Amino acid sequence: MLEFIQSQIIFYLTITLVLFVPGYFMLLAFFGKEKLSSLERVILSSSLSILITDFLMLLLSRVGIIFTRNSLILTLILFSFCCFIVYRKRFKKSPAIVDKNSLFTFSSKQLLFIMLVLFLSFFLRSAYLQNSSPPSSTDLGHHMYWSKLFSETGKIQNYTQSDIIKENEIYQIDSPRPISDFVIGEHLIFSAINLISGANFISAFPILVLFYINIFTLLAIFILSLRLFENNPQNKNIAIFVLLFCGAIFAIDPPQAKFIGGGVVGNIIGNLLMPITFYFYIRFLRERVTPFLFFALFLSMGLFYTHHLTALIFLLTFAIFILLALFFNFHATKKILLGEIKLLRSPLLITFFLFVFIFVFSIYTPTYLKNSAINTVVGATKKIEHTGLSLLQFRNILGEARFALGSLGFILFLFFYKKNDFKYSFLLLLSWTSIITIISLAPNLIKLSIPSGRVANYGIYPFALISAFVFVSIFTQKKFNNKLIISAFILIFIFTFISGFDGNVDYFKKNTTNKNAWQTIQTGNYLASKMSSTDFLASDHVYLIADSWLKLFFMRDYYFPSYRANFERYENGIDKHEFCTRDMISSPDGELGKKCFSDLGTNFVMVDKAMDSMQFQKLNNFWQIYSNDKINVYYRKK
Amino acid sequence: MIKSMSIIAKNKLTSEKKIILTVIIFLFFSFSFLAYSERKQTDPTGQNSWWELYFENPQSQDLTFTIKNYGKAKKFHWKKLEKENPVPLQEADIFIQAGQKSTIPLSLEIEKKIILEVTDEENKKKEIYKIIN
Repeated sequence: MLEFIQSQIIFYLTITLVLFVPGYFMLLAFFGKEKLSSLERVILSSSLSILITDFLMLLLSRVGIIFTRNSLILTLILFSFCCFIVYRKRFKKSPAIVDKNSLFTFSSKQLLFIMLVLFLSFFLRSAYLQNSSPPSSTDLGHHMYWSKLFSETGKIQNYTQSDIIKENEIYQIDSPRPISDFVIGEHLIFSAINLISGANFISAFPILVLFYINIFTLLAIFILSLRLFENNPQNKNIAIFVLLFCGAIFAIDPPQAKFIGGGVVGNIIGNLLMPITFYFYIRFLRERVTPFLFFALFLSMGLFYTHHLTALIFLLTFAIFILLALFFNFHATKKILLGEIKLLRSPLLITFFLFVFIFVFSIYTPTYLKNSAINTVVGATKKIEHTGLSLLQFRNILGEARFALGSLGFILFLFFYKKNDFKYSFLLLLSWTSIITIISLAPNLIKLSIPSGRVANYGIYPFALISAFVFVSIFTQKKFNNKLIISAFILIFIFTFISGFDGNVDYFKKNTTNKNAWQTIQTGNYLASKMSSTDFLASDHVYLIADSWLKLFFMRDYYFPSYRANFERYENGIDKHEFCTRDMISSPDGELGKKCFSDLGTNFVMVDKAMDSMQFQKLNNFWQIYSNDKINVYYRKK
Repeated sequence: MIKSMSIIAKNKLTSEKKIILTVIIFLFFSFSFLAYSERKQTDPTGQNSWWELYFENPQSQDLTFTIKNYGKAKKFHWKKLEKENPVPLQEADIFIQAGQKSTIPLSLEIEKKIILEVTDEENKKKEIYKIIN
């Protein structure tokens, strides 16, 4: 027990050092205790820290400093200390003007409501996530392979993958090719936390980090809402309902707890960075303070180093936002553009652009910019999941209540737009919502081939913002009869609650996933201890839980062990062009199966006991060498 | 819980500090709960009830095998069988503590399919084999 408590304390300290401290001191260096409230400083620190840690690690790797516990702790502390020195120098003499912004002063009733919503948000997520440990998600297993690789080698490695090919009628593993599926910012924070705290990758730690990021996303949306509706007398109530719509209700549905448990790392980090980026842009546009623009640009850059899909959605939203801003201020277009260009001449921004230039061209270029990823995204849609959702599917992803209120709000915005009241907020929400709706429902309109369902999940945040605005605006209208208002409020509140919690009960039922995942992990342990570098393992993704985590035991290559993928991937003509991985498990005695075993030198096979043992038990050249409740392992005699 | 939150809501701290404090407290409890829950699930003396059976030397003709118990302490019965012959060549009982393993050294005497069958107290059965010809 003492060891458990000790490891927990080290883990909490590490999280604080990696995901909070650098951002906090950087904000202090720029703003002191002015401009940002304590709550804003705390919330913004976490997203900035993710990027600072990423950039510092990329820099270390470029100058040849190996990632170790000491090098990382020293770098993070040194960076924070330098920021602290700047803060002391800049703000020591001037008396601290603490921004006692009434925007962040809540009544005790509002505060109690916030606490209750936070309690529900934490409670529902924790209850769901207890089934995700030990981790079993396929995506998270793939991501953690790269994080572990960076930790073990102490430097950034290229994202490459080998595959099975047929050359001169012989099946073989080809030489590694670059892949664009991963972005560096998805992996470095996990490597840093692993190295500093010593936490095992195959444990609850990756899930806890994603949980932390998800909670800060809710808080980021909360402060964004306060700033967006700053001029609205109901801004605090709107922000509280935003928190309710994102945090408590639909707490399990993607992109909330299900994305955490599913290890959708890029989306989760992207969902934190995007609202924070908008936050800084909005504040800059309203207050014209250059450091706000600096942070907005810094976070925009960070998005491109973290997740390509989020970066693309951000870029499109931003492009529409600029077009709309110019359209609504058509007569002042020239003045606006000239004003912005003048601002870009500030020394801070020139330094930043220089930093971007040096970073992208001589320190690290994101893989998807170098490879063919952009070509595969731009153009006609190829896969069925890229062809757009039906309105019903879109509604189901957003949640009935959010979809209904959000759509109503969207229409109200269009008709009752008052420029002075919602300067920029309205335009941002309109752009954000439109672009996600278009890509989700009709991606062909803008010639993009990206998964529509994934994009629709991004809609949850802008739709929640608009829904909360509509919800609060309607029920604070004084012209309606009081009793009518209260009855309607209760009715819609109940509808929202029921719709939000609908289906969540199933998620909490006791399931056997973790027991099965644990058995896969133990089988991996056994095989790693018995296999040498010349042995070759074939595994199965169709029936085995947590099979993607097996590669963390071997760390031989991203392709190892080879695995039988879902059957439709062999049939759609896009994903799988070889059939060895399928036939070595489905029909080991078939002509192709036997040839693949022989050509590839596969001598270990790991399969589901109930579904795939039969075909091996019939054969005399396979020994059943391992067995647990779920899995059998076979050794193929030479 | 609501009562204690109500007390926090009314005390003298500024409201944003109260929100920060609430988040920190909830984060701490959630993380501790999830970490403890993981520990419990992987603890062999906990609610697990599974075990594994494997050859120590999977690539050779050696028959030495191991039973590893991830459940509560229990008695196992093992048999060394020859293919199509129900009479065991060798058999014994073995008691294995929770989270412990036991390795039984065995050697090959005949060249045939040799099956090692293990049954636990709940009559759950597992087998591994090697075929030598």
